Amino acid sequence: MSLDLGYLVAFPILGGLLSLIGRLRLYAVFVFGLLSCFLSFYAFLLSLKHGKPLYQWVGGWIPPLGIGLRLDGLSGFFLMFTAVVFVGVGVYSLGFFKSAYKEREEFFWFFFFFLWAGLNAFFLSEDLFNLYVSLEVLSLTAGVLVALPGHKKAVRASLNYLLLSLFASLLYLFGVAIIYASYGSLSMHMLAKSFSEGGEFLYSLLPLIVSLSIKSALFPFHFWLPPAHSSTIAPASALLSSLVVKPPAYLLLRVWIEVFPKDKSLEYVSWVLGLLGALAIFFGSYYAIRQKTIKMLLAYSTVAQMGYLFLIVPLYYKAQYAEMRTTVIEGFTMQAFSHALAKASMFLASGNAIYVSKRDDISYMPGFAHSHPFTFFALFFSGATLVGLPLSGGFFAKFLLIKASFEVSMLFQGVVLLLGSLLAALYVYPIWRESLSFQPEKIYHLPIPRLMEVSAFALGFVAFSSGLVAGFLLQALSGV
Amino acid sequence: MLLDLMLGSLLLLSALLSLHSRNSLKSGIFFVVFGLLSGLLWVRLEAPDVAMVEIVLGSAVTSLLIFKLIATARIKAVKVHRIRKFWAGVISLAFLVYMIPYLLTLRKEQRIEVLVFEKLSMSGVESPVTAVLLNFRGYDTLLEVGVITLAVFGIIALNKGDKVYVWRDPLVQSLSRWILPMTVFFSFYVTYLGTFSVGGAFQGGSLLAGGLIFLSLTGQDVHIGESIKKSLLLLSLLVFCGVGLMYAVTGYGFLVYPLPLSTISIILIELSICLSTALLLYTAYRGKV
Repeated sequence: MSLDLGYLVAFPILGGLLSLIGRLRLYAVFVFGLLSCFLSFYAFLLSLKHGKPLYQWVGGWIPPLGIGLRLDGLSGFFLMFTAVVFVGVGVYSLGFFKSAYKEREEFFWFFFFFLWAGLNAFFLSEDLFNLYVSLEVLSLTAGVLVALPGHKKAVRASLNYLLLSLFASLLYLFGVAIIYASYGSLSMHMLAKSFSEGGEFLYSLLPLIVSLSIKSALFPFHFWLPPAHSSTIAPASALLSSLVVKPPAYLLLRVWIEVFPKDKSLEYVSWVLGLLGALAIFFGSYYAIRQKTIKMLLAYSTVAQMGYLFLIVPLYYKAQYAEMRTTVIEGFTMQAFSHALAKASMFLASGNAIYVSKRDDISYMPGFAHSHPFTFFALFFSGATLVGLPLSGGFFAKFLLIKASFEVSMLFQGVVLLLGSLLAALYVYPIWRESLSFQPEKIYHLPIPRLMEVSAFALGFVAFSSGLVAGFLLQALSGV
Repeated sequence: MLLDLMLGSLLLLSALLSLHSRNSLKSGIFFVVFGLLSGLLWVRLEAPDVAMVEIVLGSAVTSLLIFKLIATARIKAVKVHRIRKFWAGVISLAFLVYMIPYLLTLRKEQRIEVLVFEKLSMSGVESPVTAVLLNFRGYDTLLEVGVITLAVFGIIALNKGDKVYVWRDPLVQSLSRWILPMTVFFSFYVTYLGTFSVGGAFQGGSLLAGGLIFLSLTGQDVHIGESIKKSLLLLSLLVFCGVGLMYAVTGYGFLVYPLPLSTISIILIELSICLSTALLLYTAYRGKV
């Protein structure tokens, strides 16, 4: 019944390697993709069943000497939805590379699997230096994925992103070095015991938080995201925008609820992050509303949706002693989950729009409702989730967060969450309007490859309907 | 003390000169000097392993990359905006000021060196650095090897031009005949040395890479098929993952080496890392498989 957590990292890496060698490449992609997906789901089920964290010491060495991996409700859930997005995008890519960018396919799968391995490694790790290495894997892969189309715009966006995230990595490393020098350990569960109020770890806060905000594109550092996520090919955009920005926010949640002690200065820091999150929601939505091309709109919407994950940081702080800590964690996870799936579906559907109309402008968006119902419903369900219409996953996430913020009487968070939904409706509306239009010049009868339509639809549908089964999905989080 | 002061001030001076010279070739040369000096600084800090990598990678291989860039892109001078320089300076200064109170509180205790030496006999190797890199924190190294491989395959995937820079000089040609065999021999020796003394796979691999890049400068190439070369590039990850998975499947756990097999496992991984690192750096320099 036990699972070696090393498999979750080693199998995607092996898949990536074998996808480069020999004639059986696509079979390797197929087999290792399914295997990695199966492993992630198995890990999720284990976390549901156990209820308390499972630790594994890699190499058999107990921290501070070795590295610990930790599987609990939170990491299990993140592993699960990573796998869902990867399967969806993988299926889409099978169709996508038949029609375009054939010469890029060979390398795409390599980076696809490495991104998966990096994410799994990140979510499982509980060692601060190991997290740094996983972040490096993630940002390098993401950098290459941004530049994959090879045109000038993409290469420039990728270079900007790489330089900035390298800077952020160095800052993170610096923060980790401070912690290691003062406490002699890198393992989170050991640090939780040795951190005390007003300790030296406060010096590491500035570099750590700045670097994590750059990596997940929090408001003043968000400028790298829209060009990077909008200029690349649809499957790569979907992976980047739905998954790659999540890990830093996840780490912030982790250290806040598990490692940091009760400290007054932490409360101020949490409020700074919360305010920046609110600004990210407003500015991200504002710019999303003003965009003329669908991919830029979606990229700015990612800035806004990531804002929610930072807006609720002050709630983590309160959650340290209130019993509604579980509610906050559930809201956070549900928001990350529904945004990941919905955004992936949206980007894949935008790839379909570009496939038929050959243009990126919103005003040229095909009237999918009359020609391609699957893509239309993908846009409908994922848009509804981003807005947070009732029953959707996004609704459930916002419901939990609003409930938590009113319970600890933080009206600010609740009001921003509600306003954010309204703004999201404003930028999702043009997409719906155009895909419903029935002007004859906007209706294309060019068939889209079946795999591309179905995968976009499935991701959107799961994102929407997850609101109905959220109670089941989230039951493991109470033990975190 | 005097030596350290001299090294430190020379380091600062070379950094300043590298940043300030208008000519990009001059700037590159000062950067090489900077790499060499920081290597010496690592020696003074009693970290010879880091020093080796710093000298081979930071000054030799990086300098070749810089000179290749200057030669192929024909960059005469790099212009940096005054305002950007100003902000970079201000931010660095602010950060320094932020750090000073921390540096004053720093105290030396709670180190895990004791623990490393305590468990060294159970790691299968005699060198503490290799024990940490490949056994105690082998999982980090696995991911780091992944990072190197990723970076190089990123270069291959995105590179368009396939021109390889050749340095046509009779001296280089004849020198290569003497130096190359020695480099190959020495790099494997350094790798082997890693199990019980200063040295290791990354040091040996980057030495070998230096030799291979020298070969490329003379206008030659390693004559093996493309698919074999590709597999050699991926070899270290394959072996590392394979060994880790083998012990996971047989019930020891991922990357848990049973004591009697640990030395042989580590040597196997080291050799593969040496070969792959060399070829990866060489490929990064050439820009194609």
